[in-house]
Amino acid sequence: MGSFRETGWVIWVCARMQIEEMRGNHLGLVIGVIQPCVFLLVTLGSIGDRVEAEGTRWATAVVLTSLWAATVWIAGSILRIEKLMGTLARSITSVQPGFLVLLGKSLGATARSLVIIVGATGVTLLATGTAVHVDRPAWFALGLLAAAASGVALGMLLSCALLLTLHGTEVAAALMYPVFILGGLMIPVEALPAPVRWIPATISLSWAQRFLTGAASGEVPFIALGMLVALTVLYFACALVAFSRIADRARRKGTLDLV
Amino acid sequence: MSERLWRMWKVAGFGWTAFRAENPTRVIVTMMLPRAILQCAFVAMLGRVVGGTDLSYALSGSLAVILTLSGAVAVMDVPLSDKWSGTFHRIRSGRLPVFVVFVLRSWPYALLGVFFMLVALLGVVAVVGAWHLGWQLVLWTPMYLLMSATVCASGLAGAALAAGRNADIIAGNLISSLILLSSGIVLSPGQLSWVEWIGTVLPVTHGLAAVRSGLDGDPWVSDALAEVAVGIGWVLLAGVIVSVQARRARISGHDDFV
Repeated sequence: MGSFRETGWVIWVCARMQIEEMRGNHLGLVIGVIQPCVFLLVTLGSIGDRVEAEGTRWATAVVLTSLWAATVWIAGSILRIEKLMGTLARSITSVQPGFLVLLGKSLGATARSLVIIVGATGVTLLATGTAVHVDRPAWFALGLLAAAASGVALGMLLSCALLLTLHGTEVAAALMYPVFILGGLMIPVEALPAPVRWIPATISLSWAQRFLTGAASGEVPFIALGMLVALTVLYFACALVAFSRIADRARRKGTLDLV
Repeated sequence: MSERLWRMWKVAGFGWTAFRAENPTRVIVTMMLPRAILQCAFVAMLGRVVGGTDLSYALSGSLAVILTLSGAVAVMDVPLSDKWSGTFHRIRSGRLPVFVVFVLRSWPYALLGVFFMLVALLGVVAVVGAWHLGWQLVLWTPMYLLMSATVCASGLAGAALAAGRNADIIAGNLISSLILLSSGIVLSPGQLSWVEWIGTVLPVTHGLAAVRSGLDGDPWVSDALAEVAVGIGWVLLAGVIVSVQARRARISGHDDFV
């Protein structure tokens, strides 16, 4: 029990530290406020008369799209920034497992980003007088939490991957649009060419979109929720393996430069 | 060639050297170009899905929005690299005015935008098989070059405003987002009036309208001239801001772009 409490404390402290670090982060403002506002205005302005029927679906898609952008640019950059700041070696060799530090920081980054994105989306909906209707608010909230957990796992996985390249910023930029297009979020699966329609099924946020849209319209698509949870667990497992390999390699080579 | 022209020629040449240093070919080809193509595809698909616009409308707009990758975002490196490298004092004590130096060093970014546009056009056209539309859009490359130049002018103005506050990320992305929202990239005219009003003073709006009018066989010269006028406006704005900053720097001795 003591160990469980200590683990929780480490995650909590790291999450808080990450949230503090993100204060005044200009990229967070761009991804959390400017991007969802613009995407929402563009879609709501374009769908015109269909806004009453489709407003909730688009608002959800915009939130999840911005969550992915935040995952790539903010949570995915945690280890790279630690390396730039010279604190990576301390995180990996500290008394507490480095994986917990990464988990806590990814949690903090995702939670803060999601709160800002949802807030900016809500303000935009209010400002444009767009009504959103959620029939099953409890299930909707649960789906949003599951999507956030998925963002945490994806952020950890990307954080490990982006550490291995000298051009992390450019790689992050290149990673963003494939999910924008193939994630089944703002571009529906039906609008994709037939040969690539299977790809959204491998992306957890696509299942989150299906679940949230279903919960908003009164259904509870448990298959979508199950897939969202299963893929999130898979991402966590991959992140754990990736992080262990990176740390092992650094220790074997006697360097924490990690490149 | 007069001495002044020789200096300008040399500065433009150094601009190319600095551009290559900031943007190695490997990074452009493997990272920036795929991003441009994917952004073009995303915006074109979004236009088709949400607005139900035809391919010509969606593709002409999505090609215009990727001009901002180089013109509004990457061009910020021109003044900022001097700030980061501590070389601004050398620029402001030179013979050429600071703003002229910045403009002459920006030309590769305008060309990079057109390069992105042409490659993205080829990629999208190859996927959807709209070769006739693709060729028609290629013929409008000079107009996209004009738009790329006007976007660069707005990027320089944004960079000048942002450099002193380390807000280049916000400035570049804000310009880029405003163009996506207000320049008729996805939204058709008449959908959000206040957004259209903002678009009238933004780069791309009138140039894109000229391209679309031209594709439909309608008169387009007045829109093209409006794009030129908007570009001149942004150049003047950027020139005033940089001149004020250079004057302050000469008086106070700091090089913080404030």
